[in-house]
Amino acid sequence: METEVEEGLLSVSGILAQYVQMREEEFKKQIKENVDGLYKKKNEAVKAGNSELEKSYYNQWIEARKVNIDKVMTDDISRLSGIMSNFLESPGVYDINHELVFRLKIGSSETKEYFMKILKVKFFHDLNSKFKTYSRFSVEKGFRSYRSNVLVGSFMFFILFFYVYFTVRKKRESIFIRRIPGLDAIDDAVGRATEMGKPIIYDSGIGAFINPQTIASMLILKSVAKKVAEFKAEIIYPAYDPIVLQVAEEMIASGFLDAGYPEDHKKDNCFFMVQDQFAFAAGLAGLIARKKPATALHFGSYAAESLLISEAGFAAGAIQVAGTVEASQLPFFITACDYTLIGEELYAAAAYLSRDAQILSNLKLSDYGKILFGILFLLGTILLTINSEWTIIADILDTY
Amino acid sequence: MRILEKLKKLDRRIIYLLVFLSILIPFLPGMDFLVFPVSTSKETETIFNYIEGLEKGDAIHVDWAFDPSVKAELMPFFKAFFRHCMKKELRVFIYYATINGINLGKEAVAKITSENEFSHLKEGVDYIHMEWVPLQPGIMIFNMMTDYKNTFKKEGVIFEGIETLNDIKYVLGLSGSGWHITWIDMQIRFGYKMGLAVTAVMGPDFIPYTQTGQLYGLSYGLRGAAEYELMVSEKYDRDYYDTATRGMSSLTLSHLVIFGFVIIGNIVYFIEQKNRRI
Amino acid sequence: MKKELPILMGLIVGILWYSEFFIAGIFYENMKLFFANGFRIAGVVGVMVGIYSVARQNYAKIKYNNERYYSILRVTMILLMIFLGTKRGMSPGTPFSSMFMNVYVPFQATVFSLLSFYIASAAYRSFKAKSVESAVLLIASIFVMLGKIPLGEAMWSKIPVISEWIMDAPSSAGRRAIIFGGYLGTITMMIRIFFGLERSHLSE
Repeated sequence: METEVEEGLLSVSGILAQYVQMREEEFKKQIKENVDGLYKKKNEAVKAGNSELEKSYYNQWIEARKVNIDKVMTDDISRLSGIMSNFLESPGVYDINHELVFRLKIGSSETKEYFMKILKVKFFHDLNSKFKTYSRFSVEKGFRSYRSNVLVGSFMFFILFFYVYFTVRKKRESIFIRRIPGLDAIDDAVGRATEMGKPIIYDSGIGAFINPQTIASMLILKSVAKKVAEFKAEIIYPAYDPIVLQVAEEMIASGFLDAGYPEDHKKDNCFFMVQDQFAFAAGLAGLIARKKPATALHFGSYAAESLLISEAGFAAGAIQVAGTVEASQLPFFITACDYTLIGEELYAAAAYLSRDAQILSNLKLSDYGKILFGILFLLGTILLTINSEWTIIADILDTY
Repeated sequence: MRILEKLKKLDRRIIYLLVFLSILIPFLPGMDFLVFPVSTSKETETIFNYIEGLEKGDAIHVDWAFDPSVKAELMPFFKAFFRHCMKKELRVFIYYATINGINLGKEAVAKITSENEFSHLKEGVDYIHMEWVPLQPGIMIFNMMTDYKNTFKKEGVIFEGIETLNDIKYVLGLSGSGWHITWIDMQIRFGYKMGLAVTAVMGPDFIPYTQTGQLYGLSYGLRGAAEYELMVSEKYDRDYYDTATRGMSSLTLSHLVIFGFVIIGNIVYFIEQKNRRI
Repeated sequence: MKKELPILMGLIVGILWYSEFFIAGIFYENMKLFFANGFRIAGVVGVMVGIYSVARQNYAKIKYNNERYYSILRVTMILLMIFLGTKRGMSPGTPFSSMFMNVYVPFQATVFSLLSFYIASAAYRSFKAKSVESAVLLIASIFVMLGKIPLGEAMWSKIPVISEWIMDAPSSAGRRAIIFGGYLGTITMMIRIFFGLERSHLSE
């Protein structure tokens, strides 16, 4: 029966879709008229010298040009399917709640009726939502042409990436990376830890593993772990996220392996602390206060807990190097830490430490991207300042 | 010179003590002279005016992403916002993006609904708690755009007419971290209207997005909450002033103490520089 | 095989999500639901990994370490909260909720409040007009701080305007540059993962 109902729904939504598609030309005309009308109104406001009105019409004109046929048609079909589904709908509360449990416990004669009602309502609701999704996507299907600029742009970026990747791989040694003092300090800091016989504490903030800052932090962790192994020091890694912990353990182990001392790696030094922002900050601050590490390294994504952690390190007298892309946390790190990597320096750090071809090409690509987009932004700003109708660059860059 | 040396190596505990006193003293009785009137900022006004312009039965999605740690800063805002929504008879869907927020939110809502004025409100009709789902915000937004209700696996009368995120009139994010960056990134694609209430520390991070239109309204810190309390109270001519308005005098005094320390620090630094030159 | 399979899966999923941006259809809607369920399962497995790690770490501490009393306390509290939650539920008014609101909430709030003390001491230590730039920074910060407190407006009505301008124009411009650089780094990192060039997260 399920497939039968599904086919029925599909055919009904297909008919709806056909009806809406028939009106495509009408919609197109409507959009064009709307845009032209607003443009005219704007020009009239310019003639009248009413700058306030001109501004509002200008904004409306910009917004109206973003309206695309797909979205108008989707809106129309959801209006139609809304009317259709009103016939199907019979609302009611049918969660598994105390009332249901109570009635089931008593087992009265009404229970069966009540239960059937719940099932019925649930069935119709599910049908309804399915129907709406079907009808929406029987109109909106195929290529979204209004996003072709992103497609072209991303392909250009891919090509640029591979070009950079292969050129960098050929002349890896001669590529210049600006000196990052914070990273040079890591060597000394690790050495200092060995001399003092104290551990190094490394944390990667409160990002989940899908956060690129956390991934960058893991790459740095590998290089640091290698140095730590070479210097025969000890590294402690408290984790915020259990999945990041698994990766970090692997990173440290492989760092120790690269250095040739896999047996020095203590597994208990990487542990899950707590997945809670401030409990993590308190725990980490406590750990720093107790262990009094020679060096504390903070790389990753941070929020308000940054100062709590870095002040604890300052009070414990550790050399601290921090790095994050979160702009609001940078001031705190800069005041409390000895060295701070600002913004994308965090991504550059891994390249700087390992001089690995891939990561180097990453850095180069970011540079090219900055130049390219910088020029585009500048051009767009100049054009729009000269004449507010020259929106060509804004149109190229616009995504919706 | 001995004073100078002492000031230079000022014990942190003295600073801590003075800051503590500056926060505590305004809460004592008889300290009302420290209260100054608050003016409203344009970003908070944007949220208020938008909610004010909505009609009865419109849907609001609250993305609750803060834990108890920042309760003092964000809870007053939520309370004022929730009262405002209930006054306008809007439907409020409260989703908890963090497990630790669930009980906090439920207690807050229970407290408001126990007031006489709001005692007629029912869960599942006027508002609903949507618990916590182990999903990253990105994938969750995609799902909400496909099927709003099934994303949360919750049922109720309140969902009537809400099929996708497009049917939600306003999304309010509450957080003490960068959690809502994904929501902001996706705004361009899906075009929902969204506002944020964040802690004062995180506030400046989000200002660029209010200029690009990705954020429609931003309130940060206790100040934003105090502004909202003021606006709601003035509009409905009732006493909705809560901890935020009371906390403003604490905020004033503690700022002054920090000013004092910055000035002392600079004086010490300049005298030291002068002595060194001689 | 151990490395190639995850990379291949990553590539396929990457292509699927990349094409989702450009192509509409019912297939992609079902795909989203599929991934949502997958993430739910992964989330639960993540919790299990966390429980295992906590158990392992606390077991080792209780057995060998001199910090064992803290560990015992920690494990007891975890078990107590689980017990209270399963016994009487977690809605407002239950013992679980009472413990949460009266023990956990103040603890958390305390840690966050420490920030204000730390900010005060850090400001005293390092907020000095050492050069022209830092002097400018100092003046700007004083305006912003005054703009945030009601006293500022009472002193001079223009202070909030100046503070708002500082936040909207110079501060936002700098922040944009940092955000932009960060996102470019993110995109390149993602391209590397997309094409399977980045393998360090697979411990290679």
